Amino acid sequence: MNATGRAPLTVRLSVDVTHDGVAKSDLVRVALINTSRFPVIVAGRLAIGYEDSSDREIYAVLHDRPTGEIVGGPAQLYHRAPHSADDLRTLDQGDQTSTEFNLDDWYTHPAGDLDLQVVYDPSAVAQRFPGVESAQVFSDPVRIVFTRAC
Amino acid sequence: MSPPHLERPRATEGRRSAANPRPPQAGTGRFADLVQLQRQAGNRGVVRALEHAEGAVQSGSPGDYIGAGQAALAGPLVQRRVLTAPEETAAVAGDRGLFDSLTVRALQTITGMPPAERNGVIGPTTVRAISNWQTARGLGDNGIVDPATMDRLVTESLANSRPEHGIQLVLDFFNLATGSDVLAVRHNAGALTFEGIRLVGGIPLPRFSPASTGFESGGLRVIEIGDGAFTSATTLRDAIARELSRPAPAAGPAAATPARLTAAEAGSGLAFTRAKYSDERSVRAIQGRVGAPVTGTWDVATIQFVAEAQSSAGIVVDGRIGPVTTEVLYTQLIAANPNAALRLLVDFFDMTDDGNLLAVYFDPTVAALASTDFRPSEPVRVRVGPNALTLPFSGAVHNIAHELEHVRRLRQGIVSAQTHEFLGEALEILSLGMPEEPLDPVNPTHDAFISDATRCLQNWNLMSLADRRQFRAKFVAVRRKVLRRIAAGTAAQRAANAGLRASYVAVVLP
Repeated sequence: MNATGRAPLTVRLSVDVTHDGVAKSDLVRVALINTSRFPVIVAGRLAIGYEDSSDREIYAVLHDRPTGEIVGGPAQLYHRAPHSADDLRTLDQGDQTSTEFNLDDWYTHPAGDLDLQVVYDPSAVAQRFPGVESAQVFSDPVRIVFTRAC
Repeated sequence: MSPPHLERPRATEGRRSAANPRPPQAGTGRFADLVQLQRQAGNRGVVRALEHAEGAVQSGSPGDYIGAGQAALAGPLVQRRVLTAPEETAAVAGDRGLFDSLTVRALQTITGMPPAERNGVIGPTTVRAISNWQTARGLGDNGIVDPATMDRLVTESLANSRPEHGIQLVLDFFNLATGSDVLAVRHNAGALTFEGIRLVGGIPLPRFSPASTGFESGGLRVIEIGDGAFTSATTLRDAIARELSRPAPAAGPAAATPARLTAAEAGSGLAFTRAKYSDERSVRAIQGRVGAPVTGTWDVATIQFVAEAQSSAGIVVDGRIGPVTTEVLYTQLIAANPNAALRLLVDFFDMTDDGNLLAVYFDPTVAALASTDFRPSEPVRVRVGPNALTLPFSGAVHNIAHELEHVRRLRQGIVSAQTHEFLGEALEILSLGMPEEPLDPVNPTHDAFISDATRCLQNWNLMSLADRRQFRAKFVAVRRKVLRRIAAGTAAQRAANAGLRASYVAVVLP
């Protein structure tokens, strides 16, 4: 959080869906944007993982729209080096950094009407590099209809 | 426990007996329509159709009840019939000859057997699962994997994001030989090979096959199979067979065999190396690398070429491919021949997978150092990403060993990701039979001992109490090693890792 109490960063998602929300691809594009008036140091690697896994800067949360329940789970056991100082980035006002990942490659999920959120969570990186803005940022949910489970 | 064929049926509705005989498999008129519906929807679909359209049936309008039956298909409605004892025996005998244990486990996965029952053995439980699976799809439901069943297994393997299971089934079912010069047969959705131009109605059109082959050192193949090959088992078989038959690039002119070693030295080197490397693919990879004729078998001439390569690399010239020479060869291979290099590591360090590995291969799309499918109780893949190609030798060995620990533990059915990661890191920390990693990384994209130790503790703290109790002794061994490695570091390293050391010491054992 910045001095005004507003999170200085925003996470925006982009997924390719039909007008009915049906997924045309499992590719999720993630942009981390500095929406404050001040420069912010971020964990620029933006590597995907899971909420309780290590060496990741973002993770996804899937909700079943009708029930609101969290659904899905990890699809990989991955092995990755820790975030390095080389990957830190300073975002000036309005700057963004982005990444993308294949949802089906990383997450199991049921078929159905789901909401996808991506969370930017640099807390582990911030512990090692004190200048890094440490607050978690949740994207707005994006509706995706999956016609099959994965 | 009663013999399997005497077990109670899991579903009794429609159970067959002398009083409830098998529905007709073929016929004419109304029965033919019923059979068609049964094939599409299973027995229960027929039952529902009859229940919903009794009047139509009585009036002899089969189209109505078929329509009603199809409308009733929205839910999970397929009856699971019970094989008779003779059918079960025949199915077990028929299927046992078709598949090896790894493939059976893929089959048990696709047919929906519970994880605890996926034992890699074709027995009564497995053929009943196959029969149920067949029934649900309107196939002949005798529990025998026939061509029609294979077709459906293949298409569903892709639809269910398990294309490697389909590949494994086809390799085994059709006895496609992949042992000697194939590093991997893997799925890659868009794999294609241009096969020339053909005229269609006088118009030249490009022709593609839905697969491709890359060649690595020694003519070793990495076969990629595209989605288009998964339309049936025979299509997939033909695609793989086509790739297997592609000629490897011609080797350059053979160099004269060097004479670095005496006959006795070469013989000694041959005996040593033969004992260390048993996989024919490793032999081919090394022969290709050192410029020896690629035969796939160890011989004195190859050892002389190895000695020449040792001389060029400035290491001890003895023709023995031990850890130092393996490191040299690995380092020379990894950039352009990553799959061959990975094969050397698996072979030299005798890394086992407990029969649970479908394939290990380099995948440029993997963002991590490596990744293993998180599918407890299923055969899985290990994929190695581009960042791993620059790992120092010790890191590369640990990277593969870590993933193969996942493969083995997945076979055991461990479902906690934290427990898997604790065990993977513990294996790296204990480093038995492997080169030790440096305490700190030498490159920002690398991993090192301290990273392993940090993750190991993080995951230990997230594990369930039951798992911590189960792996308590392993944690104790890990802690001892971590404290010893930190104590042996420089003063700066000891200071930098004092917090980690304290965290380890503070752990209260369960």
